[in-house]
Amino acid sequence: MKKALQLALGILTAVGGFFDVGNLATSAQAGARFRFQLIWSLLFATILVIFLVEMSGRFAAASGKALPSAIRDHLGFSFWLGPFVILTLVHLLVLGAEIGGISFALQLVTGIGFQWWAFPVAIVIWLFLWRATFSAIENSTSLLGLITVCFVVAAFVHHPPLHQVAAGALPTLPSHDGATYWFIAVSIIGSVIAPYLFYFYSSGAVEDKWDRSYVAVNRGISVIGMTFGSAIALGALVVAAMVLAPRGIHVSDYNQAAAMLTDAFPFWGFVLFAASMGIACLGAALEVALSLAYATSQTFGWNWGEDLHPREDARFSLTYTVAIFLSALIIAAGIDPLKLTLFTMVINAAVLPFVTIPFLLLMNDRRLLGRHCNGWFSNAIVVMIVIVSFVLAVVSIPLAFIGGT
Amino acid sequence: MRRFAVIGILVAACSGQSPDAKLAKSLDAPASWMSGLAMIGEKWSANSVPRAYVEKSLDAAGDEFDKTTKSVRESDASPLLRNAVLKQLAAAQASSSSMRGAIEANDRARVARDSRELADAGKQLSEIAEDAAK
Repeated sequence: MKKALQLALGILTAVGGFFDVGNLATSAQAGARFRFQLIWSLLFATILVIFLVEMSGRFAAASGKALPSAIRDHLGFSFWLGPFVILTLVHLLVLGAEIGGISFALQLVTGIGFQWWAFPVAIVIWLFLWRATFSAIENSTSLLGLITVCFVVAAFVHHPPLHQVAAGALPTLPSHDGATYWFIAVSIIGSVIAPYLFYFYSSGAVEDKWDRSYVAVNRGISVIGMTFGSAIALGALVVAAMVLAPRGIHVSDYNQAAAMLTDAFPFWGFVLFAASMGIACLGAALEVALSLAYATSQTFGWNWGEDLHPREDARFSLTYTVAIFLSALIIAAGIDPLKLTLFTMVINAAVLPFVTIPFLLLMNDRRLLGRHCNGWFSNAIVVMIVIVSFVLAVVSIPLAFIGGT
Repeated sequence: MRRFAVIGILVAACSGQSPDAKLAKSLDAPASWMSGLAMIGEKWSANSVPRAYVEKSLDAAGDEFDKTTKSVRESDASPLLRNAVLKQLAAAQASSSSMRGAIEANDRARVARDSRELADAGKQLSEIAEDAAK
């Protein structure tokens, strides 16, 4: 009964925690520019992320270790230091994009420029992390994040042509703007397979004291939670395709997307959009800040844990404090949140090899995982993910130059 | 090293476009803004979005129109294309300025008219960009 409850809560958490500023920005751009044609990239990325999240949870449950500490202990500090530095910078950019998303949501409802909100938002995030326990953060933001289901409801209200939606699930070559098409496809993959997810999820499993009996619960959370989470991103894509594309709006600024729910919900649509954006980004900002603090503390062997009092893990708390304020600086400087988000999603895709290669090595370590090691099928999937991640790493930066919007 | 070479080749390929094609590519954002403002004006008239949001959107669109106007004037594209683009940008700037006044005056009929004009300007700018890119 306790496990069933945890599974249900975990699924809700995964649904609420999946959707963030990157999913919103890339789905809105994909739908607005190419209607349903890029649904395949969302589905493809969802399948990959299900496998990776399942593996990071299984790893934590079977070994009792979170990924960053296991990489350091088993693959060596020198192996991990380079990727760690790069992933830390990426975390700071993602955190900046999430703070930008919350600040922009506040601009929508108050009319006060987003850059003025950066530091107040940073203080709220910091207070949340300073005061709350891990489960309070996880459950409250994720349950609130379920407001994003409004995108799925809006998609149904618009009665999209189902045969075109289904056709979009199969990859097709674009009839126009090829570079932009591939840029958005890569951005979607980068937004779904965000590196912070795996460090947060595996460290969270350790915080929640998962053991080997949680392997099945983890599988349920990964598959069902990520699938439903992806449905929200799909809902945003479909709404953009039905509302923005026919009007010729390509979403070069968040303001252009903010009215996308008002066709389905004339009175509440605008508020729902702002609330969805603000809450989804708040949840993600907390996860990214924690993920960065987890990875840093585990890399240097410091005390860590959101459930510990800040005085018991001072360096862990200092890490997220510094990270939050550095990332807020990016937004306070007035950098456009949408451009920062899209750039960051491409960088996410570019650094994927640093995330995926350790998976392949650690998930085959029988001393750590025993019978929970990867089988041939999981290994085949990871090898495919490693190959895809290398392709993305090579093409993503040039695409940002040519196809960036 | 290899990655930088690929970037270099691709950027060089991109910069090898004709001035007309380059200008056409830069029209995507202003055309999207014209259509976006048309929708936002329409939604304000229907009481679906707040005034502060429309004003912020008008500011952001105005910046984009100014930036594009400047880059069109400095472009090496054909005079015919530049004039056609500048005409649509001027029309959009006039309509958005009129929309700002109409919102202050709470004149919904004028906002509806300005929205239609912005939608037309956006459509025409997209067509100009498509023709120039061919």
